[in-house]
Amino acid sequence: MKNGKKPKGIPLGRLPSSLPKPVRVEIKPKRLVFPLQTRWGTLRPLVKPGGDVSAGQILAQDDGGVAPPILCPCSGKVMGIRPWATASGSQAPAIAIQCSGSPMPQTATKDDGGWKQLDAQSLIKTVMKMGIREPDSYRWPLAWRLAQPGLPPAQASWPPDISRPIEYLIINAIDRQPGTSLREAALSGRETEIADCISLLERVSGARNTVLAVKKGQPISDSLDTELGRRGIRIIMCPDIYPVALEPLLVKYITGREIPMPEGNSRMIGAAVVDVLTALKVYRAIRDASPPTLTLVQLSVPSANMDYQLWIPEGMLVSELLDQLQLTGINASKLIMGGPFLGYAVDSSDVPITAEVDSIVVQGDSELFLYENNPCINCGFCVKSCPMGLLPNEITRSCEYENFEGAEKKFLFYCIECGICAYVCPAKRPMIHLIRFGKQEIYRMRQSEQ
Amino acid sequence: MKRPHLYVSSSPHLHSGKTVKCLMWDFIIALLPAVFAGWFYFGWSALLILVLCVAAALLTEVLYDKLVGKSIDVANGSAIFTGLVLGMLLSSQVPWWIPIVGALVAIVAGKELFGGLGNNPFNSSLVGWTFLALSYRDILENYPMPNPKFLLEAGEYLAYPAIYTLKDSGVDGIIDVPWRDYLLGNVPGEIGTICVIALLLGGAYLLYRRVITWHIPVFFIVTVWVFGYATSLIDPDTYASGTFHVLGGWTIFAAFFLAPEFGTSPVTPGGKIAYGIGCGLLTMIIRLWGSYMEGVPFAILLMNAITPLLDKIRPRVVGRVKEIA
Repeated sequence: MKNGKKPKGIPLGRLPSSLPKPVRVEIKPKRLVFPLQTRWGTLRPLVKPGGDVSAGQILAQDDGGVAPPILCPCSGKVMGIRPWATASGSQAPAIAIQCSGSPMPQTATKDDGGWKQLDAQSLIKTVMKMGIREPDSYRWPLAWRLAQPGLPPAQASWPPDISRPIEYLIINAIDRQPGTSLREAALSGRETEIADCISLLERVSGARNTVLAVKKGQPISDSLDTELGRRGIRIIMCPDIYPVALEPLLVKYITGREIPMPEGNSRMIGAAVVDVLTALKVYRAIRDASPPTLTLVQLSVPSANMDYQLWIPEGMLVSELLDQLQLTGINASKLIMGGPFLGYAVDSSDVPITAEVDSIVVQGDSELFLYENNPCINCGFCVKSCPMGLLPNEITRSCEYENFEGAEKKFLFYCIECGICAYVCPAKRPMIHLIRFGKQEIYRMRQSEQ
Repeated sequence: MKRPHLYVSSSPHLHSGKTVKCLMWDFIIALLPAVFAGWFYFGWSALLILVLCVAAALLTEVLYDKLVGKSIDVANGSAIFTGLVLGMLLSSQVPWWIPIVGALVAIVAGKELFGGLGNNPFNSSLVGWTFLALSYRDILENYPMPNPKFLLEAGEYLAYPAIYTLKDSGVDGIIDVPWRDYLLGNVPGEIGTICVIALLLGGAYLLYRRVITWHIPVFFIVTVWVFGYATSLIDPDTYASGTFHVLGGWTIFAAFFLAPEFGTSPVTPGGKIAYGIGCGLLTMIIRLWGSYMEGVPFAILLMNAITPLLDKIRPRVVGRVKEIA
């Protein structure tokens, strides 16, 4: 496969000399909250307020069969189903659970090897029921991205098209953004598990080429090298540039093909991207026959020089987490769910941490950065650094003047919202805000037309 | 959390730290070697002209903002930069009111009337300079001989700026001038445009700090050189060499400080290349066959006018595939 050109962007930064080690803190959540809204539709709750729930019970599912269901990690009681603030800044109906026990821990192997005999279709159906969510925003959920052609289609009004077989399976071990180091840390210390995990996904997807994408300069242990080489899995070093870990740019760099935007469905060019932590979740879920209950989250508090990687029960509220870690006294100006470049700043700490959140940053006054309402100075820095080759200055100006159709003609929907244009803008314009505003308004106009 | 409220904003939540103030001050720092060269050859009167220009520019911007009701933001350095560049384009022997009038026109008509930094269609310093050059042509064309402060002897080959000598006396008038004189700035001319080495230092600093990209300076200079070389090959008695046209006159100054100004030059790489080539071509055409002495300011103003059209030369958008592989 041919490697593409280095994408435009900003350097990811050197590897820190000592990565924060994942910490398994004994966290006993009192409440867990599960928002019902996903990218692929709203899930239907299967429980009623006041009802009892047990560990592993399905709380909500998508009737169309596309979005992954929500499984309860611990036993407890349903407190209510009401609107709750989510990690993406919106209000969505959510199921609130009062816990009466600890969440099912992710146990070490209790596998009986039975899963090795299952064929790809059964494995995918198992994965669909496991309720695995990912931090990246892909066009289709995990199981539909990996399924081989031949699976019965989903019942949704617009089901995923899986007619094209997967030629490239890319396991993404590059961190999404500067400031997080979860995926780098995942590769050390569990070489055989990673190799087995990638082989399993290769079998499930039927991919012709399987690749592990790592950042250039990351040390790969010899045992991982040999294990992967033995199974025919290539390791590709990707440039140390920020948005290379985002799906369209990673696929373009590794395979040389471009995902047709704005649909953004990598299946159309025969590629599938799974990040390494989600791959490990899938592997463990199949091997141990139990759904994942804990998710790995990086909590950074730069003002207090803290950087933890924690295993957190899915659905836990940020306020409760900070309580249990005794961090409530810190000076906080911004609470960012999802990382410094791609995350949303939320207005209260009562938001649940779902598996879509892989990094929580608490910024104090000294790191705080606020946008200013300045006109564009036409310096061209955003054009110079946009990895998708757009003209962000023109797009955001059109959105600012509410000329949304004009913005769409300038490829507004090709924007992957990486945030580099706003990072480099000398006038501190709220670029991503204007782009999202434009996209929302166009969706609204299209919906009201229907 | 202890705080009563949290700030909410869209991503990203970090900034590179490069503000408008940073960029403008980078431009001003890049001009300092050339300011030193101006003082070195033309003495304190050169510095006085620069100070008058900068002060007038600052005052004009403050008064205009007050009059119009805009918030005053002179700390971002753009008025200082406009004033400084305009001062560099003047001779050190002009009367005191020339820089003041020029700065007034440059700030008001060249920048503020259009909405401030980055929104002016024409390079603001050049608007001020052109007003002066067309209205007070004889007053402006009073260029002193260089008078180096130490180490060097005054250049003795030229009595008038090189481009003027070329137009008046032909190639014979400039053929004996050593390149060293242009590089060190030992020639008569405007305050800022004479010393090529100082300007190249400043330009290298700008490129290193990534304030401007290499496209416009490189293509401007290369086009001027190629055009000069080609014409001098065809008729060496009438046309000077390419190197002369690059080193003598405003070429180097314009390539780094006038042509790539924010807002008046294109933002796309293809547009920048076309802009640099166009500036070079127009400069040479006006110099060789036009009636004005120095072609650079008018070439840049003309290219500024078509910058929005050059912006249509867009980079390739990722994901715009017509057929699926």
